[in-house]
Amino acid sequence: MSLVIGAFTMGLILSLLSLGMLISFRMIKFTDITVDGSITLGASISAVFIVQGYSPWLAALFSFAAGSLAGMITGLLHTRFKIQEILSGILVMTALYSINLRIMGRSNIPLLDVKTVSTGTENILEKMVGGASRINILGWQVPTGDLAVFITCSIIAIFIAIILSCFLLTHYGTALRAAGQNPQMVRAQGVNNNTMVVFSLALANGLVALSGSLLAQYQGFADVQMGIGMMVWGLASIIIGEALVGRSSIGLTITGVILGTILFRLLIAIALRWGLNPNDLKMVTAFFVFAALVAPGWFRTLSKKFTGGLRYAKN
Amino acid sequence: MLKIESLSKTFHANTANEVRALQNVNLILENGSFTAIIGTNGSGKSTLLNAVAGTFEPDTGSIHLENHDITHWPEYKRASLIGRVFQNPFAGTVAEMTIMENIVIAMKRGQRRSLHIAVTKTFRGEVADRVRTLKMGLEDRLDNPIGTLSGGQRQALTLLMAAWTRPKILLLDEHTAALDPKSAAKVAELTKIIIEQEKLTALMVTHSMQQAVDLPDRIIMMHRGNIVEDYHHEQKQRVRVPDLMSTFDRVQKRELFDESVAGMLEEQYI
Amino acid sequence: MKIEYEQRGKYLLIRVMGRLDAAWAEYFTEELFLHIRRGQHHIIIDASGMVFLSSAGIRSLLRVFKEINTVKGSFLIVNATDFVEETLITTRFEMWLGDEFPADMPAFSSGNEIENSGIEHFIFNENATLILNGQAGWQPWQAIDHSQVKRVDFSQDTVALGIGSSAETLNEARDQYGEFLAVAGNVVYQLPDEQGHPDYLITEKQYVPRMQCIQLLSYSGEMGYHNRFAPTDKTLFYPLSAILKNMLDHVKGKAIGFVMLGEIEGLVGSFLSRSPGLLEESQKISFPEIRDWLSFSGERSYRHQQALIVGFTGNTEDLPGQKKLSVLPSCPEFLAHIHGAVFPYQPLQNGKIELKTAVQKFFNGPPPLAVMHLVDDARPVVGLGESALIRGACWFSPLQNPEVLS
Repeated sequence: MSLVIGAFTMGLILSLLSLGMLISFRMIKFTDITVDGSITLGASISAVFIVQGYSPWLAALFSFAAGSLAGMITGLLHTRFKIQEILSGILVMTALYSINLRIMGRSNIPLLDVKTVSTGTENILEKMVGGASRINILGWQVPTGDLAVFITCSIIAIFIAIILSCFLLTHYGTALRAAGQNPQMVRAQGVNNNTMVVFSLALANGLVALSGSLLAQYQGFADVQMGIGMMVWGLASIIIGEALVGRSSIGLTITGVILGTILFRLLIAIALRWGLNPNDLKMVTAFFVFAALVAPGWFRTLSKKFTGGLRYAKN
Repeated sequence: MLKIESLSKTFHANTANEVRALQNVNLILENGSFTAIIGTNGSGKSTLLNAVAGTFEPDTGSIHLENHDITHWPEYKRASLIGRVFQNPFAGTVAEMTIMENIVIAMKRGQRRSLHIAVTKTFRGEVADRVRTLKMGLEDRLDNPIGTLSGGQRQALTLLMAAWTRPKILLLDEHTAALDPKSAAKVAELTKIIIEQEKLTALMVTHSMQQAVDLPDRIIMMHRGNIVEDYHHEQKQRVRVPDLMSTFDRVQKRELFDESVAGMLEEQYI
Repeated sequence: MKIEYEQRGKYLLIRVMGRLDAAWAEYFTEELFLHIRRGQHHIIIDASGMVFLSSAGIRSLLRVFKEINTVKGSFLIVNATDFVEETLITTRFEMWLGDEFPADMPAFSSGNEIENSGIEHFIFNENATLILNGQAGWQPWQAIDHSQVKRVDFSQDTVALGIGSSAETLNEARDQYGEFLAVAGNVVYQLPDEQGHPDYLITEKQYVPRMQCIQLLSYSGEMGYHNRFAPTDKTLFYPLSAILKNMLDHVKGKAIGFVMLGEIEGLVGSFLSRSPGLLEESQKISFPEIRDWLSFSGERSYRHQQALIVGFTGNTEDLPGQKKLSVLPSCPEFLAHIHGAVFPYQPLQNGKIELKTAVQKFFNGPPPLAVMHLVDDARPVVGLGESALIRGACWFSPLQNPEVLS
């Protein structure tokens, strides 16, 4: 059971990463490599502030702000200096590696026995169950701490999902969605496309960094390497989410992304349980994303061949 | 009023591909006038339209719209004064978004885009009423993605969207060229109706001389980056397609009339 | 529907098989018009295979009949089936029906030759001459001297070309001077308007066309000689200089005045696009401003339309020191000054025809398309060459007083 709770919690935390990438990759259509750097940025900033005794909430907020700044820089490199999308992202991501090392002062900060965002919830839960370290849910014994993290992350994820859905339905959010699909149209409608790109990347990387902050708090450490491959994980989650619920409305898309991330984490947990070598995890994910990108077109040709064959048979 | 003064633009300057797209063009469009620009390919007609729309900065000259010098305004800023319909029916709308959302984006042209929810009940009524005037039955499909509509329907909506905020000038860039003949006729008719109803100032690039004769009240002919003919007022009323053809012909003949012809005629034209 | 053609002497026998209805009428008309244009003016339709004739078919036959009628040809429908015969009788077109082939029609195919191929020569009056009797001598690009403007009435006997205006007063004429030509009491002139539509004046009852002329070459007299030319297997069309040479050969090389009517292969010419009346004193017109005053055809234009051409030509040595004729570069021994007016195509009768009747028909038909001063564009490589005609007629006589041109 703790495995399931763990996968759910991890999924909820990373769903913030996926939501951020939903904005950059899907809405504004910007292939943003900054993600790998900004998630670590979020983790390292939170780690440093929490270790120094700041409130974990405040630390998370700082992470969000720092991530936004990173995204903004990527956006400006692209719009102001006309550097290609991917290269802009690579530049910022590479710079962030050094910056993260600078922030942390070393490659790894453990966060043991510190206050995290879930500490408050844990205290309330403990009071409710009278100080027991485990809670019985439907016959399973769940550690109170794990449950507290799960509840806290659920609240955060749902809160952000609602805020984000509402934002995307506002005038500004509508224009932002349009900007990615048809830049010419939004320019003709008086929207500064470049501002939209910069804003979207700031928002996206803010969310990614926030995700990094929660991740560090949940894992109990911040590591300069932790961002590697996160972008592909996020992408895989988005693809699963779209496959689950489609993209017919904003609410559904966002719900789908969250569910997709959770499902993805569950799949990984199961795979690891079955003996998948953790070192192979990123390769398997990469292969999955490749398949998800290629399969739809492949299936279409296949079905065409099949129906074509049928028609031939009829004649 | 749109006032273009000695506007010039050379693309790929000082290269083998140098194109002098606009050469010292002067043009004044009165308020409420509907002008068509015709011309051969590469005559500069679309370049002139794009210069007003702001897709590039001119080399020299100025553009004034109402009381604003918009010469150096970026494209998105000009949009507060300008409505546009493109040749490509897919260019003016966002396929993945609904009719309603597309219109809402257009409604806010030139205004600050707030953090209020965009599609509200009160808007719905207004939008449905105006979409109904297109007589295409689209008012019942406001929540369908615009990508499910035909090119003609999309272009009609783009036109409606462009005219929504009563822009100071409406720019139409061969907006019926990519449509099938029936849809083209329908969109052309809507263009005339909307421009008349809203009393808009409009500038239309067209490849169809029939359209240039039928729709607007002024025709400008361009050739090699120059305005070579301007049919206005009474001249516009009597001008017919064959007249435009012969003017084209004349313009091209003038092109062929080079120094060697002049020399030959000096001998023989006595 | 299927159409078969067979040449029987001067007659073209046409076998029409199938239905002549709305679906085929347009095609049928076009096919027959093409043959009429090629000089087939005697058409016999063998209707033994025509199974159906609709109103559209009758209309088509009527159009062919009318065309044949204007060139005084013959049109006959033979071997009509009962249905076709009945249809034509009830629609009062029984005059087209014939019981048998014309007596002078050979029983067998006579090959694909059309009569009067090549150049045919007729003489109306060997001693006829023309008298040059009016002239005005504006030269490009002098400013117009009002005292030099000539007011001329163009009677039935006058043939003229020049630059003038139909305006009544000199003041009005100022911005209207353009090329004109006058034949048989009809004047066609080019307005130096931006749109370039020519206009025309026709003698009617008491009215005689009148022009204010700044440039004029006018003559009267009798046209003694007449040439007809039509394409042959070898000669698809006739360059203007070839026609001029042929005419001059017949009058032993004297200077002549001529009128020509014919189907155009291409005209090369120039006309005023701004009235020389607007020229300022001592204004110098050269390239590029000449383009504002003069327009050049830029191509061999008006193919397959009909031209009415008026001019003077002669050998260089016969006309020393003259100012109104220019050397033809493709035939440097000739001098000429030629104006041409273009009309929409109308067929010309075969054989010997009367100048006045033939010209009259054109002025009574659809309006002219252009008037221009014909030039011979012999520029190297890019030159358009000279004007040329496919088929037609010319009338000419020697000039009695060519020295006036000097």
